[in-house]
Amino acid sequence: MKKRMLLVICIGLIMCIAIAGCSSQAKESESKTAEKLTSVVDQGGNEVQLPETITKVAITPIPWASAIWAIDGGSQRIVSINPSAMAAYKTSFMPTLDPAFATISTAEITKDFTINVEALMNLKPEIAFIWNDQTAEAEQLKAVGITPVMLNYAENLEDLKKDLLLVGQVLGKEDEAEKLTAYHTEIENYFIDKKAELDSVSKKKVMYLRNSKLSVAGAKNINNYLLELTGGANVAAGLDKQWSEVNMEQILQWNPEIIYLSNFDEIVPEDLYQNKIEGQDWSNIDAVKNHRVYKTPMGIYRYDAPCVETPLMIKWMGSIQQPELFKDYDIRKDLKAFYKAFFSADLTDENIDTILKVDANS
Amino acid sequence: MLKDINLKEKRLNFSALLVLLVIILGALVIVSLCMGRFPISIPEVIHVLAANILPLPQVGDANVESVVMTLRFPRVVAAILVGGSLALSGAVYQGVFQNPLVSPDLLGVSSGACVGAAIAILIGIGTIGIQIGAFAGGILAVALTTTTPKLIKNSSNMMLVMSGIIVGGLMSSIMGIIKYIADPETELAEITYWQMGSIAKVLPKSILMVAPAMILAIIIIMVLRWKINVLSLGETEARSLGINVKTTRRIVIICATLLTASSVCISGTIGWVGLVVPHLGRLMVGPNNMKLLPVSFVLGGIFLLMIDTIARTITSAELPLSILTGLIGAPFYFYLLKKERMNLS
Amino acid sequence: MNLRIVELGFAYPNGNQIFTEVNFSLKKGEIFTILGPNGAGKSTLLNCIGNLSEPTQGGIFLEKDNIKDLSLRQFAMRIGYVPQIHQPTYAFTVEEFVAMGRTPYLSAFKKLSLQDQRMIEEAMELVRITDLRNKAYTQLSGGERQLVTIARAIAQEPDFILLDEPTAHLDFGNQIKTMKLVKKLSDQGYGVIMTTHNPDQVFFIGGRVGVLNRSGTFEIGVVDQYLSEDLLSRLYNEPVHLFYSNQLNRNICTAGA
Repeated sequence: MKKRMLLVICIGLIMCIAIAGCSSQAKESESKTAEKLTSVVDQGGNEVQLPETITKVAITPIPWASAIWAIDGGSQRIVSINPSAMAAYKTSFMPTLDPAFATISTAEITKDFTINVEALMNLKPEIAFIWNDQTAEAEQLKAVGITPVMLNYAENLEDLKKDLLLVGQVLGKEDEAEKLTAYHTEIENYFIDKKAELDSVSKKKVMYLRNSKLSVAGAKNINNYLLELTGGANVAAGLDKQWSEVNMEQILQWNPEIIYLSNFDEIVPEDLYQNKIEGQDWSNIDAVKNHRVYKTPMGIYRYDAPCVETPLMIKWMGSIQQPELFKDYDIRKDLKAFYKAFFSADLTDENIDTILKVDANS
Repeated sequence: MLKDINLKEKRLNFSALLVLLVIILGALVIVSLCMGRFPISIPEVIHVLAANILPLPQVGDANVESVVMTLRFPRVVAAILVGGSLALSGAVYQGVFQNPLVSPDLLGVSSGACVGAAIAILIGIGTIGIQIGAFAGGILAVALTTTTPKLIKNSSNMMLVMSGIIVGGLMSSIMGIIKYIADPETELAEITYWQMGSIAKVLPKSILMVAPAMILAIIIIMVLRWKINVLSLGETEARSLGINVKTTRRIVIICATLLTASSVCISGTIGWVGLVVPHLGRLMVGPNNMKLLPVSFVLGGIFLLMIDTIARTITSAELPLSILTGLIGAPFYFYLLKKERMNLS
Repeated sequence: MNLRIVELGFAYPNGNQIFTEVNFSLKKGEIFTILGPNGAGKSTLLNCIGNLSEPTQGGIFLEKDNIKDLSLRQFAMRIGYVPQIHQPTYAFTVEEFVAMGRTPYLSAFKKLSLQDQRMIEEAMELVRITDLRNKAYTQLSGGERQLVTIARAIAQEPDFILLDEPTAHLDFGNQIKTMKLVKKLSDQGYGVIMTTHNPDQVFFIGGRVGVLNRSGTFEIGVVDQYLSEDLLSRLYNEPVHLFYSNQLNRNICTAGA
């Protein structure tokens, strides 16, 4: 009888400790957030108190590693990024611009965006950028004194500009961010102004192919917005999501005139021209017959994702889709100017060839 | 008189064993709280814990307390609660359905929870939404399983099990559709990760949400231990001994389902625990549920706590729990079956 | 304590009538055997009496109570049921197994009381399996399992004990042992109903017998007076020979010429 009572008391005690620990902890997390100054509203709708000095940041979203590098003017303050971002860096143009970026740690964040908060604590960043659906991670980060800032995966240019400005505010680099967003707006307006002319010409039927598994960009994809802005019509605009897998029959039915191949996959125009992919027959598609399959460019990051170089993507698409209409700029000259203005980099013709994937597109 | 002493000694053995297991669990808790990327020693852990219960001053370094109480402690509590609950559910089902090979997912609660969570992920309603979806999905699946026999007018154990197979199969197919629709970049990865089980992101408030229901279910099951023994003899014999089989079975199923659904909603689906741990318990104390159920709970807590600690320390990436429970559980199960081969018919 | 079976009948939902108009009664200390060929419905009849199947006609009464009005617990405290041996799933010890006979007396929160433990001990002693108490049920022989199941029924402290073909699957020696135990049960004051297809057992047991034949009719009588060679031969469709043994002081039933 006595032993049994002792047992019940033991178990009861353990449970009490557990519950007490949990609830006391839940209250304490309030008092642990950082102290001073400015606050911003992030893309998750949260009011975020910014610490006075920010010396280190961690970046979970993949495209934002390079974007934040661009706004901050270098990788000095970046201490931890997504391993996929590092992989993208290595295949991009960035190593020529900043070899030191390669030393950033990728051990704290995993490809599926999970953060090992303890490991991150060892690096002591003040800020961690996360996606706006990572609510659980935000709680954990706040509790150990790291301020989470939520970013949005942009579906259009407005979203993207908000993200860029937010990053500028957080890093104290509002000017640089505004320069970038101003350039974004300028380019966007150029194409919007051309809308009347665009309406009078026939829109080219464009298909944006992500990979060899036939995943295509749908209505919610930022590229949908971009290509429609530049005189194209997305054959897959009827599909709601950002990316949807379709089959060969559907593609035959659409019969696009232009096909873009993303940098999320190794696929190149040759694969379609030579029908190298098993089970797929591209020979009857207009884009293939007329040799109008293009590998999208990749600068400091792939142009397929909403990022710093998005205005260049718009221009590039314009030059392919409606060259007669958009005669008044030279994409190569504009590229040179852009990289000079924003990254203080002098690009050679070879560099531009690499970025524009001239080899693959010949 | 001599016989009375004999019986008392046996009872002492069991109580001693249970106390020993609880002590092992306690020690494992302390050890687990020390382990992780951020180095913390055992005295520091004990200090942090003590300062949270008694009016003592807290450790100097605020980070230590954060890591122990905010990052690790919720996981430890979740591991014990979930591991113990899954093991308990498994043991209970094995008794009620007279089959040592059944798991808590017999009636489809885990598959239903997967569907519920996956739908929530597709809609994109955040962590709490996913938990509610999982819980609802699990409960609905079991409701479907238990209603089907009524429609066929056959409420035997066999019918329930068949019904569970049907519902489980249905849920798997729906899962297939959902995975097909899901965005392979974001949603599909999240669904798959959830399915493989993890308590990495478990928040204290989630635990507090489900804990009351779970504790209630555990208490009811413990109260019904003797009746579960009798149910394991078979429906006819149980009835001849005065047990209302339908009612008792219904209560037990509700409690076990509640336990499993609550566990799955905060941790995702974790396999093998509900199957293997009761076997280990049976090897230690026999099939008498008066002893088996408490032992299963504690063993389940120890098992999952060990596994979760390994999952978060072995690499900097978070290993999903089902992978480890499978890798460790399956060979261990084989070993147990080898030892047990005498007793299986 | 009087157990009365009144106008009992059972039919399957498809209309197949197994037996009708079964009437008999039994007091504590008496033995009643139900004799019949396999397939006649003996087990079904016993299941009805044991409240495990619902009869389609008639009723069963314990004194003035219709068993339908009793709770399952109350019924289990008055009638114990010993099923045919089966393959158990779990290896409970003999003691744990017999202890389950105390189920109707246990409430949710209490452990086994001293009274419960005493009844368990007495049940095991009566059946002489005390030294098997810590052995796993799954490791017992058929005969031992039968004894343990009877002990469990005894632990229920019932007024009546029902045994369904208690000698099925037992070897010759164990069959004799079991029959002796059945007699002992009635000596101890339990009312016993037993089913069997072996007429010789009925002669061994004595008491009253109810003959259930394949057409579903049930007739009762006192064993020695009622069971004749003629009746038995017709019942089994085979010649049966009866003779009286002076040594054993009873009729012997065996194959006829």
